[in-house]
Amino acid sequence: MKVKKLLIVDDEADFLETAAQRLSFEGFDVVEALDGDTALAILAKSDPPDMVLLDIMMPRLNGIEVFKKMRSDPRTSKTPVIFLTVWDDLVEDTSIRSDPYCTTLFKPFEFDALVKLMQEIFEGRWPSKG
Amino acid sequence: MITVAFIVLVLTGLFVLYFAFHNRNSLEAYQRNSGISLAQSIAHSSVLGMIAREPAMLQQSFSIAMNDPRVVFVAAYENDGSILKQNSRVDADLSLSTARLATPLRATAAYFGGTAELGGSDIDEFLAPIRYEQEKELSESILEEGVRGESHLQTVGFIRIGVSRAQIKSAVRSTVMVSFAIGALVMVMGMLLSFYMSRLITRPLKDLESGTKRISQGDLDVSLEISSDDEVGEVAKAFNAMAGALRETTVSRDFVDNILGSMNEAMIVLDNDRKITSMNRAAEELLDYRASELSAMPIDSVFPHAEGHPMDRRSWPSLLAGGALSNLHEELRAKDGRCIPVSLSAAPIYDRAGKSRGLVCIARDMREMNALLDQLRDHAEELERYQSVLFSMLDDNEKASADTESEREKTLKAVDAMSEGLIMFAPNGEVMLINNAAKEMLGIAPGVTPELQELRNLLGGVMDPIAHGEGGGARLTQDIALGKESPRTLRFEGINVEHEGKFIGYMLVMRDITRQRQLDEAKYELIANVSHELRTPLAIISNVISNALVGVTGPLTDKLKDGLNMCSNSTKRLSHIIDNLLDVAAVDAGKVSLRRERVDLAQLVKEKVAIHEEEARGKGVILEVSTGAERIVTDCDAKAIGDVLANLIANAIHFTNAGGMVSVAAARHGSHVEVSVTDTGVGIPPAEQASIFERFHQYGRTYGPGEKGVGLGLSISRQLVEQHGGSIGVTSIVGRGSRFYFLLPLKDNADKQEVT
Repeated sequence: MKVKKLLIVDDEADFLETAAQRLSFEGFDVVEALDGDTALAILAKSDPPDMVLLDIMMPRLNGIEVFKKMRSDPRTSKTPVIFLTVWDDLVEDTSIRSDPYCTTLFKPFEFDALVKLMQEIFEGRWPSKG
Repeated sequence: MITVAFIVLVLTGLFVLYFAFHNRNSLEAYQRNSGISLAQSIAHSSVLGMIAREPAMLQQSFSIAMNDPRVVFVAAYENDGSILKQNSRVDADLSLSTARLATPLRATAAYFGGTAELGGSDIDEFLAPIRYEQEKELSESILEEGVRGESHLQTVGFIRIGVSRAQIKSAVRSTVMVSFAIGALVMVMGMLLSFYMSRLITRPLKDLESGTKRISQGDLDVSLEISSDDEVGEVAKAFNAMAGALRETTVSRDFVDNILGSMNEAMIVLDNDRKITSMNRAAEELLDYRASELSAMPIDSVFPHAEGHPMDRRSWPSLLAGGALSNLHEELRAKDGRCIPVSLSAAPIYDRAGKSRGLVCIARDMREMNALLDQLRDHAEELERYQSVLFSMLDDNEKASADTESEREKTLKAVDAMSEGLIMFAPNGEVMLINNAAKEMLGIAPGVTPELQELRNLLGGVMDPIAHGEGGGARLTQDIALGKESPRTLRFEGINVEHEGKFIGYMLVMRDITRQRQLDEAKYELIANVSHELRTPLAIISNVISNALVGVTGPLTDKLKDGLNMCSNSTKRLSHIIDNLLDVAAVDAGKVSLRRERVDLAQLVKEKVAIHEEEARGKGVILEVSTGAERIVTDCDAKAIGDVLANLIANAIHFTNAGGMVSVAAARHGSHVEVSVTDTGVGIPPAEQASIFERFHQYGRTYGPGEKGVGLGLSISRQLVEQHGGSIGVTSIVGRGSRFYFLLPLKDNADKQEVT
């Protein structure tokens, strides 16, 4: 089975590093981005990731804006997105609620839970948006 | 009447008897006379026949005699008793014994021979000697000059006739019958006449009597027909004049009865001896007595007052002499012994002459009023101040004395001085009272009482229970933001005021919580920022610990692994506390707005149980769903209620030891759905149960090693459930287990329940 390529975006370098470390350890091909612009640049490349783990509260371009730009590009319009965020009002944004290919996980989280969620999504099973 | 008839009958009988007797006598006389003359004439005409002893010579006279239908027989006897000729209508032996011959032969003229029975019929016998004149011999005549020329009559036989008495009998009988018939006719006619006559006289008297009775019963619309100009007619005229006068000078009793009957207040009238003379329908209903049951009973039987009361026996004379009672708070005793709180007023009654005629008491039922006040007290102690206002409001249609008026003014001022807004609605939605605070909060000009529609436009959903006229069932709490330029948030609490299941009013209390809400929002911002700042480093710590534990950073010693596990647990707890703090702050700041949708609670229960199955298995706790296949659909926020459910299930698993059981159920209970989580865990002591839903309350239940309760989960659960208009609770026995449950109203969608 092809190794899944992940893009993880977070403005907190330590979080980004520890998360990337762990996900690599779990067997994923991990690409890191410290801000939204970098993330969009990576997404614009010829080999887009299979999934994006996206922080919301980021300076300049926040996660929601990155998400909206992704969705406007046909190549990434259906790329699965998991928002990794602290408690934040923005998760109530209608573009997130109405999109079938995204979900949210609040920080701090258990990596076991994240990995299980990712596997389910790759298998096409999305959690219900209660 | 019977006596008169009897007398008439007896007199008629006597008259008939007299008439028949008289008639009979004259008939007897006539019969005798005619019989005698008949016998005499036959005897005369039979002389030659007898001398010649030739029956044929008797034939003519015999035929004449037999032509008379009364004559039964005619016979001619010779001196020796032999019958020369006989004619008879009956077959009978007419021979006579020798002894009976002597009399007719000696007789000189015809005579009545008595009555006999012959051939079955009664007859009168008449006998007449047959004599002829024989000249005395000549010699004798010469010798005896003196008797010369004298004739000598010689009897040669006699005639015997029988005349039937039947005619006399029938004549007497017919006389008697005719007489009786006439007598009876006369009697009947007499009786009819007398009856008619008596009716003619007594009927107006009867009318007069019944008219008098009707007037005495209060029917003054009586009028008598004046049918004559006699004395009775005069009395009837006088009577009608009297009734007319009564009608004009007295208020009709019907009219008064209607007024008293339609009074809502109970009215009891007492005589000078403190005895009940009458009461109205309201009094009957209030006391559960019939007026007749209490008639002439002393007032004490329904009004057990204390000694020294103005209506007491001792104070009674002064009360009658001009005292009055006004709105005393008393208790009346109903038939079954219940004490009924009333507002009692009383005033003496005088007749035209100014003489005391008793006392009229008016009692207003204060039970509903008191129930209303009880509920007000239940709601908030300060509401007690409104009591007198409510009293005076309900006393609106009563003559307000100067005292009560000023009292009312005073209390209205007190209500107006309140910081809380207060609106009282009548069941029909009419605004009974609105204080200044309410007007200010709602932006209504002072001195204006708003219409129901105006309030509905302003307040929307809060007014629904009032608009529907039957309240919302449960207590209602709702926050509404009003105004655009200077927005303010009002917290409304609506209370149905009910009495004995009857909806009697609605009270809306409002507080301006704008300032409080602003503070809550500031607090929320702070907590949100702090928690955001806390979560990020916490996430990093968590990541590092987790990575180290799984070996990302290389092999670990056992001691290091133990230490990292402790760090891991602590970060989890810290994270949980932050979650809850944020939740509480969000709810306080009104940030959690419910996203209501149609949710099948049975399905929600199954989902939440499925999520916790692994956790339960790991702990060796059996987790089961005891909900049927039926869908239980209600309007609620699935996420909020799901969180509550998850919190309860997680707690139950947490506090249940291996081998125990946790059971989750959802079921309809009347107008609510009840969701319950029952465990066989450690249980909660009664003292803890009351405060378990308080914020930051530490569970009294024993935690596992290294674990500690958060103290916010149940408080948030309660907030979320109450936001849905529901309630949450717990029952528990230490060592046996606990049962947490919450109720959500089904009422809003009871009409669209779906069952599959």
